[in-house]
Order: sequence, then C-alpha cells, then structure tokens
Amino acid sequence: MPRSTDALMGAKPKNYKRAVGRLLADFRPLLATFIFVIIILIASSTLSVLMPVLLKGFMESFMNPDSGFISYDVAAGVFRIGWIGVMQRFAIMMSFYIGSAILMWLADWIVVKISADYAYNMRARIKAKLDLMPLSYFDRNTYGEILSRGTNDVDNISRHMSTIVNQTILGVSMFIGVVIAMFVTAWELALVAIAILPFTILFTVIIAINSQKEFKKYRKELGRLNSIIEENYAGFKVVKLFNKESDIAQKFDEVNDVMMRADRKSQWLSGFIFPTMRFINNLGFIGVSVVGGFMENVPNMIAFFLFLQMFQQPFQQIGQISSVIQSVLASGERIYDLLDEEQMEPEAKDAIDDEEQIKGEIVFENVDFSYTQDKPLIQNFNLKVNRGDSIAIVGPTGAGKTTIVNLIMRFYEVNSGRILLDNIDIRNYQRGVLRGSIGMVLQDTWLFSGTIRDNIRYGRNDATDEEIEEAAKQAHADHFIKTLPGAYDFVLNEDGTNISQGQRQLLTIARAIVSKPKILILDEATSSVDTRTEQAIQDAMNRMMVGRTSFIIAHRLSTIKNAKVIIVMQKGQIVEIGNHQELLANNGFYADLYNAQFSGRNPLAEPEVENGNEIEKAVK
Amino acid sequence: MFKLFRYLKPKLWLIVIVFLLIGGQSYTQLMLPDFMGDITAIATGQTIVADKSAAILDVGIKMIIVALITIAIAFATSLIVSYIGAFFGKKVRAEVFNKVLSFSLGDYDRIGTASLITRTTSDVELIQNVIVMGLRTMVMSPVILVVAVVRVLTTDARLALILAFSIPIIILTIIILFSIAMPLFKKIQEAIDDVTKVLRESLTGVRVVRAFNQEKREEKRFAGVNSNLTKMIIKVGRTMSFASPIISILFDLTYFGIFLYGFAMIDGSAEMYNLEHILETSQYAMHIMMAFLMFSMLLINIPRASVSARRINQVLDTPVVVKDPETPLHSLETKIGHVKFEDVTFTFPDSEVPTLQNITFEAKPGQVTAIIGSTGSGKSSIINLVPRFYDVTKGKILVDGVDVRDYTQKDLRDKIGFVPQQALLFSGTIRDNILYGKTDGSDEEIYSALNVAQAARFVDKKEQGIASEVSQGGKNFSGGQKQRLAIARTLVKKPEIYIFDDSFSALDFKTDIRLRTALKDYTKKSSVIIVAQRVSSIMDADNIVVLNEGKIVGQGKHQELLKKCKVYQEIVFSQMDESEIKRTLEIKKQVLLSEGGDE
Repeated sequence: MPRSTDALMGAKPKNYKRAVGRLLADFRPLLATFIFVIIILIASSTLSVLMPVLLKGFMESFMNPDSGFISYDVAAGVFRIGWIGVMQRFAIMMSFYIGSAILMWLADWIVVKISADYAYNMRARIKAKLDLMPLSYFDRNTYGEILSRGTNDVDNISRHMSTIVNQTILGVSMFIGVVIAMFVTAWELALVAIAILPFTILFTVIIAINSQKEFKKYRKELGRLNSIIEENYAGFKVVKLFNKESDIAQKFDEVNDVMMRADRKSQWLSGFIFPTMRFINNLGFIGVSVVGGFMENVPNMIAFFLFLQMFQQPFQQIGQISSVIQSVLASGERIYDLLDEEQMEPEAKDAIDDEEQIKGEIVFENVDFSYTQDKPLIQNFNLKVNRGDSIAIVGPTGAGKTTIVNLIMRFYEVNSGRILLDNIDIRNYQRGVLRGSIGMVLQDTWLFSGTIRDNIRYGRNDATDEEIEEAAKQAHADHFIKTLPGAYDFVLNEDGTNISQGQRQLLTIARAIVSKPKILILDEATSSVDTRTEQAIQDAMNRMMVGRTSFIIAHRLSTIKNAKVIIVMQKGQIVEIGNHQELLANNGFYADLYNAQFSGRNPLAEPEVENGNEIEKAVK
Repeated sequence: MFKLFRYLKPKLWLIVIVFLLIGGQSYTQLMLPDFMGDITAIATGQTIVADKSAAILDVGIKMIIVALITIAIAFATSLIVSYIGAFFGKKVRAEVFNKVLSFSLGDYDRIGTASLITRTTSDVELIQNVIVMGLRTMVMSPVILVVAVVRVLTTDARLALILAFSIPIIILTIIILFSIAMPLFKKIQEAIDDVTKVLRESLTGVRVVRAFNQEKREEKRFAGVNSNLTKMIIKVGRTMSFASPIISILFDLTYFGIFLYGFAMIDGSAEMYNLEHILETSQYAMHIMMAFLMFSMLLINIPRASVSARRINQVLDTPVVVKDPETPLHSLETKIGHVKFEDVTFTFPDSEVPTLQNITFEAKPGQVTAIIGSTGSGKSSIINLVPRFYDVTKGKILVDGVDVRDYTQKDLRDKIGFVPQQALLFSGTIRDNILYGKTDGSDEEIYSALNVAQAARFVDKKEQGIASEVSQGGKNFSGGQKQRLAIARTLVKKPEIYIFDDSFSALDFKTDIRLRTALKDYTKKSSVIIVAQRVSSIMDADNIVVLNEGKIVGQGKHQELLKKCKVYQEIVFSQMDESEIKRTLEIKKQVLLSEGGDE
C-alpha cells in the first residue's frame, strides 16, 4: 500500500469534535441529498447481495428435474436445457446486478457534484473571509500557509468526500446485507464466515497501529533530512566557499541511513495488510468449502464464494479510510481556524460615502498605537497637516515609517486617540471612500497579471483610455509602454517579471495618478534601478506632489529639506518632529543622521538584511 | 524514468528473488480454486471416495497449508520489496543531494532552491512508491494471468473462450477511459494553478487591493477561476464515474457467461457436465480480472511518476561545468594572495551579451582594491569569478601566478575568504558557525575574529556567549549582527585573499568605521577586495576599479579618478555634492581620531 506523498496525510487533528461538528454543520443543507444518496447505496448493496441468493436458488432448482431447467431426452439420449426458463432467470439476476451497478453510478454522479459544489462554496467563503481580515492577520501568517488552506485543504476534503461517503455507507450496508443474506441462505456456512471476523478486525488494528508508529518515525526523519537539505541548499554558496561539501555529505548520509530504516519498516508493515487480509479471507473460503462440502450443497458453496468476495471489501478499505478521515479532519480544522478569525470592525453607521468633497486636511489627535501589546510604538502623537503640506518621514529601515501610512489608510485601527480627515474621524468614512481619496505608491510594486491598461485602470475603474495615457505620460511611463509589443495591451505575467523593476515602479505611479487622489503617500525607496529611470521616478513623484497633501517616506535629503514637517522615527518610536532647520539646531538624532551622510553612510538607507531580503540602495 | 532504475542494479539479485517469490505466491494462491473444485467434485459424487467427510477434510487441510505457504511467501516478499524500495529512496536522495552540491551557481539559479528541495525529497518518494507498487503488481498480474489461463485451459478449454472474449473488452475499456481521463487530469491541474495564482496575487497585493478599493473586482476574478475549476472537477469526476459500473458489469457478464456456456455444453450432450468446472473457471476468471484491475491502477500512477523522474533526471544529467583540472597545481607553498585579472571576458551561460569585457586589474597583498559601479555594471560577476563560481569565457584569472582553473576548487577556495552580500548562518551554536571553515580553531581565535568584526560585544551580552544557539537561517539575530558573525567566520580562516561583497551595508556608520579600521590591521598581509555602491566606503582604497556596463572605465586612487574619470565623477556627485565631499574627509579624520582611543 503506497504511502501518500501528500503532506497532509499523517496530519493529526487536534480537536476531533470541533472539526467533525463544523463539517457536519456545513453539510446540513445538503442533508436531503445525502439521505437520498444513502438510500441509493443501500438499495445498490441490497441488489448486489441478493444476486448470490438468487443464484443459489437457481442452482438448486437446476439440480431438481421438476424445475424444467434441464431434462433428459430419452429418445436422443442427451440432456436438454430449458433455455427460456434459464435465460429468464439469468436475465433477472443480471438485471439485479446491473441495477446495483447503475445505482452506485448514480450515487457517484451525485456525490461528485455535491463535493465539487462544497469545494466551490468553501473557497468562496475563505476568499470572502480574507477580504474582511485586518492586515495584522497577513502579518502573522505566511502567504503559503493561507494559500494552502484555500487550495490544498479544501481540495483534500472535497476529493476524499466521495471516498468517505461511498465507501463508508457502501461498506456498512454491504456488510449488514451480506451477513443477513448469508444467514438466510445457509446459517451453518454463515457462522463459519463470521468466525473469521474477529481475526480480521484484530489483525487490521494491530498492523494499522504499528505501521502508523513507524510511519510517524519515518516522517520525523524525513523532517530532519529536509531541514539539512533546505539549509544547505539555501546556504549553497557558503558551503562551497568553506569547502564543506564532504562534511555535509557525511551528515546527510547519517540521517539518510536512519530514515531508510524507518522507511523500510513502515513500508513492509503497510504492505503486509493486504496479504494478511487475503489470508484470513482464504481461511473463510476454506472453511466454507469444507463445511459446504460436508453439507454436500454445491449451490450454497457457489453463493457463499460470492458472499465472501463481498464480505472482504469493507475491511480492505478500513485501513485507507482511517487515515483519510484523519487527514480530512485536519484540513477541516485548519479551514475553520481561518473562518473563525476575528474580522475588521464593520463600517460605521452613516459612514460618509462621498469622495468628492474631501479636501485633504489631516489631524492626528492624541494617537496611541502599537502592533503588539508589549511594544508601544506611537504614544500621544499630535500633528496637524494642512491641505497641500508635505510631510517627510525619515528613519532607518524597520523604524516604523510605514506605521503612519497604515494608520492613515486605516489598515490598522488606533489604540486610542483619533485621526481626522477634514475634521471628521476617519472611522466615519467608508473605508472605500477614505482609501479612494488617497493615492499610494509603495516600494512593493505589486501589479497583477493582465494588460498594462488594466493595471493602470486599477487606480480608478471608470478611468477613460485618454486619462490612462495621460497618467502614464505624467509618470514617464508612456514612452517605454509604447516600445512594448501591444503597447497598453501588453500583458504582464504573474509577478510582473517581463518588465524591469524600474518600469514597474513607473506603472504604479501612473496607477496612483489615475486615481486622482487628494492625499498622496509615497515611498521613495527605489531599488535596482538605473540612473535614468531613477530620475524619471523622482521627477514623476515631484510632479504628483504639487498641490496635494503628501506623506513621503523619504530617502533623499532634497525631499526632506523642503518638507513642511519632518517626522523622525527610530526603532518604532517618533523621536523628533520639526522642519529641517529646527531639527539641525536640535543636534539630536536627526542632526546625527544628516551628518552621517558625510562619513560614508546614508543611514536613511540603513537596510536590515532580514531573511534574504534585498538591500536597499541609497539614493540621493 | 527507466534511467533511474540503474540505481537498483546492485540489488538486482533481490529483485529476481522477489519475482520468483511473487510468482510462487500467485501460483499457490491459484491452487485454492482447484481445491475448491476438488471438494465440489467429492460432494457431488463426481469423485468417488470411501469417506466423503474425511476426503473433504483432507483437501481442506491441504488448502490451509497452501494458504499458510502463500502468506509466508507474502511476508518474505513484503520484507524484500520494502527493503528494495527504501534502498532506492536512500540511494537516489543521496545522488541528487551530492549532485546539487556540485552544481555551479548558474545551474543552481536555473532550477531554484524550492524546486531542488522538492526533487530531492517528494519526487523521489513518489517514484519509490511506484516502484514498490510495480514490483508487487508487475509480476503478480502476468503470473496470475498465465497460471489462471493454463488452469482454465486444462480444466475445460472451451470455457476459456469466454475469457478470450471478455478480457480484451475489459482491457479496451480501461484503455479508452484512461486516454479520456489523462488530458482531463492535466486540465484540472491547470485550473488549480489558476485558482492558486489568483488567490496568491490577492494575498501578496492585499494592501494595494484595499488601497484602490478593488475588493469587488478581485472577488469577481476569483469567482471566475473558482467556478472554472469546479466545472472541470465535475466533468472529470463524472466521466470517471462510468469506469466502475462498466467494469463491474463486464465482470459479471463474464461470470454468468461461464455458467451459460457450461449449460450450452450440457445441451445436446449425453453426459452431465461437471459443475465444479464451472465453479473453478469462474473463480479463475475473478482472479484474472482482479489482476487486470491492479495492473491498470499501476498504469495510472506511471505518468505522475515519470514527471517526477524527468525532474530528477534533469538534476542528475546536468553537466559539471566547473571542473577540477586533471593535474592540479599545488601552490599552497606560495601564500601571497595576489589576484590578477588578465583581459577577462565573461558571458553568462544562457546569455548572448557579455556581462564583463576586457577586465584587467590586479589586487595586491597588503592593499585594498575596491570595485565600484552602478547596479548592473558587473561588480558581483567579477568577484564570483575568483572562487570559480563561474568560469571566464575568455582571458584568465591568476592567483599567485597560477590560473585559477589549474587549482582544485578546494585548494582555491581555501585561499579565499569571501563574505557574500547576504549573511547566511546555519543552525548550531555561534561557535559552530564561526569555526565553520576551521573546525579545529581555538576559542582565542574565535574571540579575536569577533573583536575585529565588532561582534564581541553583543555575543558577550548573551547568556551563553559563543555557545548560544543560532536558529535556522540565523533568524534570532538582526541583519547587522548576522553580517558581523559572517565576517568573523571568514576572518577565522585567515585566508590570503579577502573578498567583501558589499558586506558592510548592514552596519551603521560608527560600526562600519571601527570594523574597517580593525580589519586593516588584521588583514595587513592579505589582499582585500571590496565591492561597494557607496563611494564613501571605498574612498581611501589603494586602488579603485570603476566599472560601467561590464567594462573598466577607470582605475586609480580617489583623487585621480575624481579628476579624470567621468563615470566616477557621476557616481560621486550623485551621492554627494562638492562641499559634502570635503566635509566627508574632514569628519572622517575627526571620527578616526576620537575613535582611536576607544575599544
């Protein structure tokens, strides 16, 4: 029996009851259909179980000369078969069997649709839920994790649903049906057949438990091996530079060896289930043969051989079912964990839904905020920004510059205090309206797989083609777009790698321009760009800022020098606020930063090389 | 896929034994219907015996013995098969792992870390499973087929006709269903990929989606791929659902057919037909059809396995690009550290345009050679050539007068201390990491290196000092700390050549100055090559090599270049203005003076 390479197999659910309860609850609306399917399957197994009974009956009649199936033609000295009668009987038996097969097919047909629909709904629910999740959720969980729940876990449940449903119901009803039919046909033989049952169960359980143990060991060793592989593949360069290839190979061999042993053991145990089942079933056949022989009743034997065949099926499937059920429950748990997460606050009643009137005056009033309880970030922050002002936020990377952005955009809620837009608490605006009035150009140049036109239009759905081109021109993107095949209809691939990083940035600027924002949020960091593009980006940004309230995460001293207010952040705290002259005079952290320029470092581009992220290249 | 079977060669003898065992097992399994027929014969009186019960019991005991033999053989078979499977897994994993470690940087980047990891583990596991399944079924099916057919023929050749009729039909059905299903499965995979893609995009771009209020649009997009996938799944599921009933019915028709055929033989014959023949043949028929089913299940798994096999073979077949010379030169006696580039041109393997052209410069021991240029100028490529991460396309690189290609890679890399841009630490203790390249190093050497790398202070602050744990990827340290530990690791090695690939970028300016000052002393006998973006890091280098678009456009000291080299001027002025440059030099002097007395 091959082990599944599916990483979900072997996963153990932590709380059976909850997962089972929720899964069942989800299926309640489909209850009628399920009952229908159950009935069909019971009918199907009844039909298939009856077939041997009929056959036995036929064979017994066949032996009996009075039945008319067979007669002896004395004159010719040969036997004659009463074909009409025989065919009638066989037709009936055949129809039972065909009926059973058709019913099973019908059940399958229905279950395929139910499980596919379930998957559809589940995926839609998860997506809808994700839309309501606060950004902190995405900070806490990796995309891979979240993605896996929406795809792998849902898939796992729906894929195995038909197996579980069909095989459980079929198995149970077959089993009951066969037992009944056996007793009805010949109770002596039935007893013999039943006698093997306890052994079947006993051995299945013993082997299953032991193979699970070995399987767990195997997966543990696989985990160890995997981390050696992962670490050394990721640290490939370093391994080579320090000539550690043979050392590593040795370490690998050691774990590989241990893994092989666990592998072997678990394989042979699980591979042994089938022969064991077959052996026990053989004993059944033997028993039936012998006792049937004693009874000198061949039709019984014929019938019971068919019964025994049907009898062993449920048990062969038990081993598979238990691990499948466990895996399904584990997936269910993960999905419900996600669905039960805390959502964002709902929109306020009478929230403002009109974007036109927004002017762009922002006030921070006694704002307290922290991402986590124990690390206070912003405390009692006050700031008044008039329409058209530009505010620069400076500080080393990781200082928390994006926090201000996150709060204005209401990606996170303040802990206390409030933020006012045009003198109204931002919580009294519809989120869509608030964000619609703010244009954002971030360092993360996210674009989706679609045409350039669609990507720019993303800023505002009702933008006309002319407006799009105009925005592209202002962003200095029009030129390079026209050099691409298809120009504005050029399709960006997933991850947008068929244009350069600098070009992506220009497109995101065009996108922001098209959204006609009243307020701008810009991150000046430009990484991996050539000087010409750099200048184009800087120029486009400067143009955008004219007349608009702007929050700029600044990387260039020229930007900072001209800002109305500079917010200086360090290690997540705001340490100084003022304009350039004031801060220099203060001779504090800002002054330090400014002077540091000349000793060879631009601390504004102090990168944190975390998890292999790109180093920010300083730009002046 | 069959290429991989060569790894099974050492265990070929075991495989032969397995085949024999399984063959025997199938044979004994098929003896049972025979016995059943015997009992039937005794019971119906066809075979005349003195004591029916005793005779039947006798046969029964024979059957038990045969069943026991069958399971004993199965036991042994399972042991051997599982051993073979596990052996295969272990062997191929090791082969792939070692092959990957021998990859050149280009090979590695081509396939990517994630894919390489999957290929080493789960792809191997998949093939292993198929081999195990194959070993079991591949022999069983044909043996059962042959034995059963022989038995049927010897029982009553005429009944075999039914089988000759129904078996091809069953095979045909399986083939037809198979060929319909395969392309559909592929379509499902593609539909799943679409769902994943859209979901992933909306996750990675969640801020942008929300910032531009595009939640509704994303929802629609998702609904589109979601329903497409659902439709596909239903289509495939329903198509496949025909398989089971059709095959069942065929089985049953065969079963009944045997009976009817038996009756037909009675019709017009003077003798009563042996019913037990019917019984036996029907049993054999069952076995034959089961064998076909098992075989087709194996076939279904093969396409998936061959995809895995292709991926693994792609790794194993990658030619070794950077090879050790047949007769390596040993210049270990000359430990100077002189690096010379002679008219080097370098083009990436899949590229047409050269990244570097006509590069000629020298890095002398006791000197600091800096390489500066804007992004894409080729800086990293130059230094990647020194330890032979890539080989030059034209020209040569000499280390201590010997072409780098004439060293073994091991000897060459022993001479070089290279600190990559991204600091990579391994799980273990700090001591393990620092002594990575020199396992017999002493604690004094460790502390000495940590001091120079400005890491001693934060290491001492930790409770367990150098015995502190480093978690995978070094995640429990900040970027700057990781960088300093990586530098210390290289320092312990005390190589003749130091190469720093923009390695001071994660440090704040005070630490940077302190480090480079301490470094100057520690490395005074070696040659130091620094690659940098920032002019101020390398302004006082002994030789600055200015790169632009893969060519050297200037070499010399800072002042000369400032006067003569246009590109250098551009770079400098893009980073500072005139007064600031002057100020830099002033402030640097000040800082060095004041820091001179400090630790």
